Amino acid sequence: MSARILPVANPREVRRYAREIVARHPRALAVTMTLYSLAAVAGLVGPRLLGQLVQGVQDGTTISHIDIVAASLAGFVVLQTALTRYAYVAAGRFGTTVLAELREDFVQKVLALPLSTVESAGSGDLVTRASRDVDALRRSAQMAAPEILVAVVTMLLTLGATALVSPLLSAVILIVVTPLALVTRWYLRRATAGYLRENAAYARITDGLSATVEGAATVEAFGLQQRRIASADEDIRGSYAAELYTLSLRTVLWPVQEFSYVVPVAGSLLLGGYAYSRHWVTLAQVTAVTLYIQQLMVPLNTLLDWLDTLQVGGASLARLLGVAQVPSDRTEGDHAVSAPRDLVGREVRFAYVEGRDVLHGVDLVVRPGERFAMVGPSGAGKSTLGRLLAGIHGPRTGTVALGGAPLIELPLDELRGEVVLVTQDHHVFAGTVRDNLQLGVVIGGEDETGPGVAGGAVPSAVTVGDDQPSGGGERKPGVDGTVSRTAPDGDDELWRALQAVDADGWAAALPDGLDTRVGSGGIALTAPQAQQLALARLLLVDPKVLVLDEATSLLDPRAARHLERSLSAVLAGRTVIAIAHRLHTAHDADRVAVVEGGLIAELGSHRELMAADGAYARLWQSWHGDAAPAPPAV
Amino acid sequence: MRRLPVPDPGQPDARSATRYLLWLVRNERATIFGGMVFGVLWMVSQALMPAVIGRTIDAGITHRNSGELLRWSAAVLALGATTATSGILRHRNALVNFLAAGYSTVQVVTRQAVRLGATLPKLVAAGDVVAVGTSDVAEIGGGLDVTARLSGAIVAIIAVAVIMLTTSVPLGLIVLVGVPIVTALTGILLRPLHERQQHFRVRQGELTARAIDIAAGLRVLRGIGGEAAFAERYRSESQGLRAAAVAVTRVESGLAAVEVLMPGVMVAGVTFLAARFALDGKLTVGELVAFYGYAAFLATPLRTLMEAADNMTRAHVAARRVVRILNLNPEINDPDGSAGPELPTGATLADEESGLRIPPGSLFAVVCADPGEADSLAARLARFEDAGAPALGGVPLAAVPVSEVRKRILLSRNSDRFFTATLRDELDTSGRATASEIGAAIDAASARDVVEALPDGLATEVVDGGRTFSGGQLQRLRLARALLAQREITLLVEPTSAVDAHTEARIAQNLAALHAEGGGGASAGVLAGVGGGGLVEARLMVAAGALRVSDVHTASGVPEAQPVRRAGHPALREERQETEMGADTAAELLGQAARGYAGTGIPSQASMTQATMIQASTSPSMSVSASAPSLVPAVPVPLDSVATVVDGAVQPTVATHATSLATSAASLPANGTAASPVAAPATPTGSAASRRTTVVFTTSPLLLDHAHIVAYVEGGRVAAVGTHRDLLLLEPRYAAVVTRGEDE
Repeated sequence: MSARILPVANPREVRRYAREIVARHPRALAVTMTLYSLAAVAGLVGPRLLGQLVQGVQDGTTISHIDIVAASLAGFVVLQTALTRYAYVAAGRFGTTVLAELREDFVQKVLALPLSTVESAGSGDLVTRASRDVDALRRSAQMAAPEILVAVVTMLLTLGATALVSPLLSAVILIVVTPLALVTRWYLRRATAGYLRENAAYARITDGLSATVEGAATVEAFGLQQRRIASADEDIRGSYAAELYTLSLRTVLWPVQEFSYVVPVAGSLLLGGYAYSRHWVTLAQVTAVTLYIQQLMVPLNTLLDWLDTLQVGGASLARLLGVAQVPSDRTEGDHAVSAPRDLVGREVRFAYVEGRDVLHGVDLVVRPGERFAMVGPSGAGKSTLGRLLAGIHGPRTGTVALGGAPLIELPLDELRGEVVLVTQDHHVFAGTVRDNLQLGVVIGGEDETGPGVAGGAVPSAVTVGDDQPSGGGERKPGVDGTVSRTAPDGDDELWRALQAVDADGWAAALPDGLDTRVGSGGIALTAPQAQQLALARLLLVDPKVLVLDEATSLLDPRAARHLERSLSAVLAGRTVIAIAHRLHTAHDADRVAVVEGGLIAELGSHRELMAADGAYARLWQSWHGDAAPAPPAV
Repeated sequence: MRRLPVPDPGQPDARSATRYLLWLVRNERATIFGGMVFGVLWMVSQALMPAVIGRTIDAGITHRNSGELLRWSAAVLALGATTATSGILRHRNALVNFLAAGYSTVQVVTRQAVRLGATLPKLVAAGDVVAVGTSDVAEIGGGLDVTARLSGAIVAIIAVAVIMLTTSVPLGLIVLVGVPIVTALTGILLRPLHERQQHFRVRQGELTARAIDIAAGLRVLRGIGGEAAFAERYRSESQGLRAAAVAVTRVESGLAAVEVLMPGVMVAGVTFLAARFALDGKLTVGELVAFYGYAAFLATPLRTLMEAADNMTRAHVAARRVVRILNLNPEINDPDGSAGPELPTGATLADEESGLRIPPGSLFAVVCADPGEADSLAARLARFEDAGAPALGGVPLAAVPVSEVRKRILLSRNSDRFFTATLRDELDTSGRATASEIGAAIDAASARDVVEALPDGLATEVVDGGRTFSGGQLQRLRLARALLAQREITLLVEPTSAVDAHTEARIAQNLAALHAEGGGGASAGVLAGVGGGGLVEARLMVAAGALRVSDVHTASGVPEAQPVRRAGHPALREERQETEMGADTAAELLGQAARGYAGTGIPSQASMTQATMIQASTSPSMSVSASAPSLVPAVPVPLDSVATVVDGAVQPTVATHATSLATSAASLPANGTAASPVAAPATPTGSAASRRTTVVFTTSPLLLDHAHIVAYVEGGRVAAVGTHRDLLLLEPRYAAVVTRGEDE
């Protein structure tokens, strides 16, 4: 339960990263900006022409002049239309490209998280980052960023055009710059937190509702109806408070903004009228400036509207980048695993929290090919010892070494070829059954260079049936380059793995067999089925040492027993360390370690431990019932 | 501002989607009216802006009249101030409309969800209900929110039309006909885009789901490798989505272009005509500028009209989904009619269909040959399914309100989840448990270490439905919660399937100890029956591991069947009707009952013999039940348990001191009192605990060994009953199921 929160990047790093990723596409950015600028310029012709018309009408002009002005007005509209279209496409391409890079980067970083972090952090925080933060970023990168870009360009050009028409009249804009800037700054300082709180509060409502719905049976069983109703009302109260807060921010911001847009219009009319009466400016200039100022408010409004989205995106980006800041937990050494592949723990001590050791100097030798069981009460340190034996954590003091090579110093790919940990934490990936089975094979099959890394094929020793007398060597993918993953030959392998974990029955009954889509968006597999898939996947990876931490705990006890038996036949010759809460696992093992209080309290075969008449024997007797005939030792 | 949420949203009108929406409107009429008023002010003040600017140019500028100039500039400012003020007030009202509609919907859907309870997942996919919270609420809110802007748009369009027509009829007509056509055209162009965007959003959701999938399954991925494949797949999907996004952008760009083109053309055309009119002197210069302004402005209210139509359609669709959920009804219903029978306390829970009979106060275990059977049997006994005819003390569960059954019988399954609150609140579902009771339950469930590992102990917030706990930890917390609920009968389905053997052993002992409490280890029971024309009563005691039968009383002269008539107890009559067993079954049950009350291990051989002996002693013709209350001692000391014999079968019934002491004490020979030196429980709570029944559906030998009675169910019927050890010896199929599952 060490729910360590993953780090969050600081604002400077976020800015640097944003600059970097934008700078990767200088051309796309330049094209977008140019097109939008041209479109904005074309759009600025309108007021100017109208000004001319007004002036013309005022001064008395010809119909043909009006026709020409109107025609050019229409012409610029068409030009602006065309430019806008291309600018939009360019901006869209730029935005989506940047966004795709951002999210791919993030997933890459998630996938590179150190093993120990993954094992101890839990997935909640990460899932939030992958869903809410990526989504917030999408809004920022795909919507806010282009809109803001366009708004800024349009605004600058409109300002320029205004100044060009009449520097004097355009000065009225300055009246509102300060109040607008002040109120916007005041708002932005509060808005991000406010909107994040609002979103979080709303998420609580939906989470609460889905908890009520998913737990409807529990609600009924325990009579929690009033509680759930009260809890929903409480969530709503929280959401309403958050909404009222941001509303109060907008109640300040909006009127100031909206009034600010009108003030320069009135100002330009007033000043324009005065200047016109003094013959400093023409009527055309007054009209054009007034209309420009009115037009200016559109991009300004857009800019202010999207700024807070951009801020929220920045906060999300900080969390996404934070994932990359977890330091590596492995120090690669140059030891090679050599035969005999004894898995040796010496004086192993380990603590999750400094000063609180959970293992107190464990000594242990697991021989190659041995079936080794660990039993003991919860919190005794079995799972921790399992993780150390799988090379996920390094010991605080002491060593855990396989064939003389400390596990924590093995390169990750090599480690996985040697030792694999399977926990009760099951997950069915969205994809086909085949995808789920071949997760690890891809690595094993394509990376043939690492010493001791097996090919994708299950060696003959692992086959269940006796219809496969030939060795597995020729079926190794990549040997002749012709064996494809979907070849029937490859399927045989998958089916054998499924058969070994008793999953061939339900798998064959799936509508599309191995091609059936499972996991989110597909057929939902039960927890026991998910565990079976995980074990079948493991068989395909075929490591030398397997650490099974309650890997069958979700199966019906009888099914678990059967599965373990067939699995153990398939895994003959592999070292299997099983942490189990069902004693038949211990009974079937070559040796049993009773772990208590971070130490191995008893060690020996089932028979030896029974003969020793210690804790294990007592547990076995109470579990098994002394009236039953003693099962034959295997 | 209104205070939200309202304490009670009331009964929604769920007859149709429209009625539901109208119900919401009625509830929010004040803010809806307010929103409309300010919406009109806000939009009209904007509509008048071109006119006022035009007047400023005409009256103030072209005529070089500084007084007029000042006046009209002030009017511009005043109009701007009106827009700004009414704008925010409209927004405030509209937001409340939006929120109140959404919140009310969440409230009524939550109330409906808890009303449906266990039926909910059977009738509707969880996703559909959750979608109410994630999207429908916003759609419905959007429908109400838009009313403010809609009314503003309508009034503004009318206002502009009037102004334009009074200025220039032909130009006014052109604008009034042209702008709607242009807007409608844009709308038609929009439609296919909406569909494409929808499709694109679905793909976007899929990619997000992929990222979540990777994050959630990261442990597996990192554990055995496959990152490269996943990164590659994600990259290609991400790039695919990027390409799709670009394609959508292309279509969108067409729209963006049309949005520039259409009003642009409109403005150009109007300006062209207006300029000609102005040249002819039919329009002033200011009016020319104003017409330019109207043409540009009108697009806004017209877009609002279309948006409103769209919002209301979507609100209607969303309301339809909400109404569908609101119209669902629970599968399990209260019996028709008013006051039916009441569930008796301390009675046997019996299931006719399977032949299962669970005596009160016992730690009873059920082993099902087929694991799926355990689920349905447990659901049936707790009336989570309307099947068979389970009865408590002869009163069918279906004959009393469901809430009554829930108060008495708890079903705790591994599929049960936790919610988001402090662990203390999550465990103490009644909210009434004392700290020591909570502590005791945690200890009994062997979950002390789980709580202690938490940063704030019991005050720690349970997040994400408890998914941060491991399977074994969750199971122990679930057990603690079930024990704390302190129901008379607790059904636990595979409560220890995910905990290790050491912990399981402790839990088994703790459960047994809970049931031995109050009996003080030397538990006792009274066995009584009417036989041979008389009342037979024997006292069973277990002390030092041996069963002792004492105080065998035979009250002669009591006519057969008389106690039934005399007591007139409704439960008794029921009891009698439902039990017809052979003499050997009776003997077996007799033995079980004896052991059941004993609570702790009696050597199986001994108990069988003793049971037979008791049976013999009460034979030959036990036929009518004695009333349980009749055996309650006159002194108000809670008796551990009383067994009655009906038709040769022991009917264990717990008699509480609350049950009609007066009638029984008066009507029965004093021998009832003679049998009373039962070890009295130390505390009332202890006695309550000892009277509680726990039924465990399991195949775990550790739990079974501690159960008082074990029933083995095969093919939907009870195939054998006895203690675990008896059954291991006598029933090979049982032994196969519980010890190994599969013998070599």
